[in-house]
Amino acid sequence: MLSVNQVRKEYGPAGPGRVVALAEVTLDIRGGEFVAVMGPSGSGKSTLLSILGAMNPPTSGTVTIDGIDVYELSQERQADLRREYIGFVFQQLELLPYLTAVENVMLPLAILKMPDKRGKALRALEQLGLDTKKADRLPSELSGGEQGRVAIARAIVNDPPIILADEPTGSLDTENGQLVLELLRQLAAAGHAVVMVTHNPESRLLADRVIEIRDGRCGGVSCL
Amino acid sequence: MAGFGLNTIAVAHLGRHKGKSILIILGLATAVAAFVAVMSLVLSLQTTLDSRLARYGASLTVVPQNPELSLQYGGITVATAGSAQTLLLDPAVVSSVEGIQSKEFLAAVLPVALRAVNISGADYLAMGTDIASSARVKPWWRVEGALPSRPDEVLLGLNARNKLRAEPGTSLTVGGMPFVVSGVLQETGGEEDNTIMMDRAALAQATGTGDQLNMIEVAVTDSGAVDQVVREIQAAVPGADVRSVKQSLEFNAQAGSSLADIGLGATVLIVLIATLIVVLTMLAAVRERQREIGVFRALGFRARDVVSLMFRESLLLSAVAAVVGVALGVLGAAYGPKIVPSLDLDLAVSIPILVGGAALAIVLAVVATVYPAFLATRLDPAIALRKL
Repeated sequence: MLSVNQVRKEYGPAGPGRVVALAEVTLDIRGGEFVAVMGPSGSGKSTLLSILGAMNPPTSGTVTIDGIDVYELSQERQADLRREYIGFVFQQLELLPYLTAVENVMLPLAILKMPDKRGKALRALEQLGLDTKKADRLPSELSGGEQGRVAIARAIVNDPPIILADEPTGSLDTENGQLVLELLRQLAAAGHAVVMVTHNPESRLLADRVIEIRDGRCGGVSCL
Repeated sequence: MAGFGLNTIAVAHLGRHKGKSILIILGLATAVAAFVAVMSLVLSLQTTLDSRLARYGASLTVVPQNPELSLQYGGITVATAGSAQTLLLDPAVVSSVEGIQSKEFLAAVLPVALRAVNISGADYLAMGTDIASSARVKPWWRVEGALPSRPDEVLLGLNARNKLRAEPGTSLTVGGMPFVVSGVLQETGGEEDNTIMMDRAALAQATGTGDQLNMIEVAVTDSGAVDQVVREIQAAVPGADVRSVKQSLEFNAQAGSSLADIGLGATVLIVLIATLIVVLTMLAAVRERQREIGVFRALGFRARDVVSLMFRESLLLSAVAAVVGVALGVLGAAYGPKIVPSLDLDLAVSIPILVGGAALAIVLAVVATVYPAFLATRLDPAIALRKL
């Protein structure tokens, strides 16, 4: 499903000031797998997630999704690939405050010509247990847990095989954080490949695999 | 909601950021309003000149030189009632005018005597002339009642009628002689509006001032021959000024044109400032929306989708600004010239100006969006994943 081969990412000008964010990382993630990426701040977790998400070309190495070499594609095709293959759940959830819950869920469908986008978005919300009576409320009118459900519904509305989550529990209280983790666990059980960057120790218990990143390298035994 | 797309997002975004939207609309609308108002003013000046030329025909006035006093008609000043009357033309001038080489271009030569008369304690300007001939060369005259057919009948200009509160059939006493109002001239916009018109001999008799003339009105059959006729009359009557109504109107229009030039300069300045406001506001919006744009990109929006969204928002704002700006511009064109009452413009608003104003709003919005949109395409989509 998702293969990372010898990926290296460097930032900054050449010379001693150059920062190595990732060094020769190799890993494979299969459909139905729930992977937690853990490590201290600045270890390269988010860099890895952005590279997996077709948003940050590596300095060297390759990333393939379903056999497609992501960074060989044009930027336009990379955007298409993100829309078709990847659902994102952001740390701050990043719901647009001027759109209702259901409109936020419809965002990945906005540029597609397809019938019944709202129906599809409502089904996604329903699947995540949000009372559809609240579908037309603005995010500010929803609780933290409800906002988390909306953010995950937005990630799965077009049924992508890969879900990338960037510290999705970071902005939530313990109870809602637990709920979001459980929802992601369920998505993995439903066949999605779920990769989650997290500091949350609970994740260790729920994840199928934990990848430890330290100084840009896989520190755990399960990197491959 | 199958139609959820970029338009829905654009409308929702603008609705949420009303303050910024209003600022951009105001900026654009101000530019449009200035454009429409000034262009309409320029058009009004031209239309007014044309209509007045048409109204006055290609006519000339032959007048004494250096008029200075208070009651005026056609540039002639007449002394107030009771004071000495100066600035007269010799009646022999009439035959000199009629005898010019290009006399075939003369439609009418109308000697005019202007006198100040006192009626019921108020001063009025009385004009003694051949009213029937005058009416023939001024086909725009509309008379309520009838033209005078007898020497004891008068025709009132509209303002004179209002001041006298007279109607057709009302009796007046001028210099002790009884007259009857035969008709009232509807508003001409010219100086006839202020006068009491009557037979020249009757005016001379009523005022006891003799048959001396203050001016001669000359109607010319061909506007192309005006300059030639002016030159020949000037040569035939060296002691008089020969004024072309066209020249006089053009002079007035020149003053108005200077105003229009200033207005055009101000419009260019306003358009530049408005563009700057819109560009800065849009740039600020892009900076504020970096994270949001990153989310769009992460969710699969292509760079051109983000650009399309930004242009949709600009076009929506410019459409509102076009309507507001055109409405304000028309109001400005209608009421602005009233600040300078002497301009007395006929309002002229043309569809091309209104369409041009609306197009200006759209062009400005598009131009102002190009650079911010370019910046948006350069944004790294991974910005959505960065920590705040």
